[in-house]
Amino acid sequence: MKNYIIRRLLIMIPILIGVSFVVFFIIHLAPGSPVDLMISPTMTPESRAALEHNLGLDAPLYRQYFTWLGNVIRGNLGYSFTSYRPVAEVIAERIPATFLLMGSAFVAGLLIAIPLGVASSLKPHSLFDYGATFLAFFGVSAPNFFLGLGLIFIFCIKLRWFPSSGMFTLGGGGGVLDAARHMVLPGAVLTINISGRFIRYIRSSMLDILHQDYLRTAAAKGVPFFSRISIHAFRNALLPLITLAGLEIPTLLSGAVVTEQIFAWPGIGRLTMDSILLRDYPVLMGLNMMSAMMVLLASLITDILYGIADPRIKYR
Amino acid sequence: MVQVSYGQSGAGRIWRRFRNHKLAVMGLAVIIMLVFCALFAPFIAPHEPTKIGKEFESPPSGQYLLGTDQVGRDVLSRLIFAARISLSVGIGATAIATLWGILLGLEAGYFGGITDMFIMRIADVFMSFPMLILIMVVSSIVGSGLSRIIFIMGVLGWPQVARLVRGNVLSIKEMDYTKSAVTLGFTTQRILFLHILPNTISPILVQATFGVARAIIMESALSFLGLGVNPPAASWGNMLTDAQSLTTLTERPWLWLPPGIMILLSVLAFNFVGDGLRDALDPKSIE
Repeated sequence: MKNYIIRRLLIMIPILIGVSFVVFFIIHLAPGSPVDLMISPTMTPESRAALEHNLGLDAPLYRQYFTWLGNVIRGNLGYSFTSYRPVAEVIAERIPATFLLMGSAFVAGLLIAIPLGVASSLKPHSLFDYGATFLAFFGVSAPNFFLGLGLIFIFCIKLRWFPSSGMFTLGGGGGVLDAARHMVLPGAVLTINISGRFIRYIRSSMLDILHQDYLRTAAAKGVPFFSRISIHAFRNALLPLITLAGLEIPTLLSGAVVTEQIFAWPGIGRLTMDSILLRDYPVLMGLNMMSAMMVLLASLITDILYGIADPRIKYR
Repeated sequence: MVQVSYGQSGAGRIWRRFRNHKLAVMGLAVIIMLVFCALFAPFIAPHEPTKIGKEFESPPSGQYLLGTDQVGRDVLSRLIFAARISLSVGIGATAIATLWGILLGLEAGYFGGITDMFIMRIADVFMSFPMLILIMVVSSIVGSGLSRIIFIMGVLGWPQVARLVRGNVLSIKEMDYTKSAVTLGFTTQRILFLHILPNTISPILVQATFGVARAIIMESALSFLGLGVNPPAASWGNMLTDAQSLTTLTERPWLWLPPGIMILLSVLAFNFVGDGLRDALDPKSIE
């Protein structure tokens, strides 16, 4: 197990270098320069050149890449072009907000999807099943910006129940309750998306299992219905679910970008959007590396959890 | 492995199974309607989609069935013309991604070894980005616009298809009929495209249908963020961009509800059809 994890972590290194290579060249092959956005019309060509030199943008592209890579290996992600603060710091201060939002939505999504998915697998092709299927497809198909606007329209404008943007009330005392109130709507958007995906997964993986012999045996020896479903069947249905949950992480991150944009949630998603618009290359590189790393780690954790849920699997 | 028969009876059986999936049939109807709108947009649309009229933000009326937008353009006409954008992005991007995915997946699965390693590691690199973020970066840099968006999404979308094809090829190449084709001395090309590909086409078709739905959602999100199809060209996504202002949201629902509903409807339609196809093409499914 330990060897397996170490090997997986080592495989991540070439993949991450590949990611950085692709993103770096895509970003820097752009026509124009980020300096265009920083200079004022009164700037002389000399001071412009000096600015480019300071930012390291005048070196040949491959040299810039290796300088960047060398710095990253030494733990330095560079400095933001716009705020001149270390990239690691800029990103780190945004991470908690995104994790809070994504994590809560993930948990809430599963809490909704598991009972619905299991229940609809118990009575396939019933009215309830069709309802759950429709809900699932709605959750997957509703674009989250439209969903977000709809929720703002109903709950902020018409009902005035929840605030529509930010994480804390301006000038307010802050605090957990305030953040929670702000999180309800963006969280709901992501929860609808996530539960939509999982209802289908859970339903189909439960359906595969419900006809297995061991469930008939369990019924024959008198195991009560509830523990038959929850212990015998669901534990086995969990396996494919874990893999799929891991595969959802990149989708979830993409969804967070749009959702954070609409609700002005101060997380990674908004930072991404801002640095794209301002062409803040170092921050953009840092963000891409971070999301790639998160995705890879998520898939590793997925595989480890898979091993825990299914004792038959041995990693070597 | 079930032998795929290409006669009338095979297609008929698939259609019969597909018909049982009520939601999929409804989805198909919506798609046919969308294609009709896209093809005949200039004849159906009551006004020019980019023509700037005299009445700004007028509510729905007899002359403008869904009202007009901020610069006096007819919302209904823009909605109809935007079907062209969504369908061409959805189908175009998926076609490119599927083609690439099939070619690379066939190569990786059939040849194995170094080729497989190389292709699948590159696939890993592409799959470890959140797709939307990568497309946002690329399109903000090479510039947005319809054909660019199709190209970017097509080029970046191949890994999922490649994985699917590779997995299927791995099992098909152990089948007796593939082995006998090799023994008969057929060219690799012939084996790949005439013996292996036809037997893995149904999961590809299902995946592609879901791919169209994903591409439509992605295009609308990009256009919504201002990184996709740019005005004055109408796209359902960029029609929603202006609804972010509070006054539009509260007082002019005709500006943001219709395009949002259209995105939802078309994505739902493709997802339902994909689900129906999966049931219909699955040899294990019971009649």
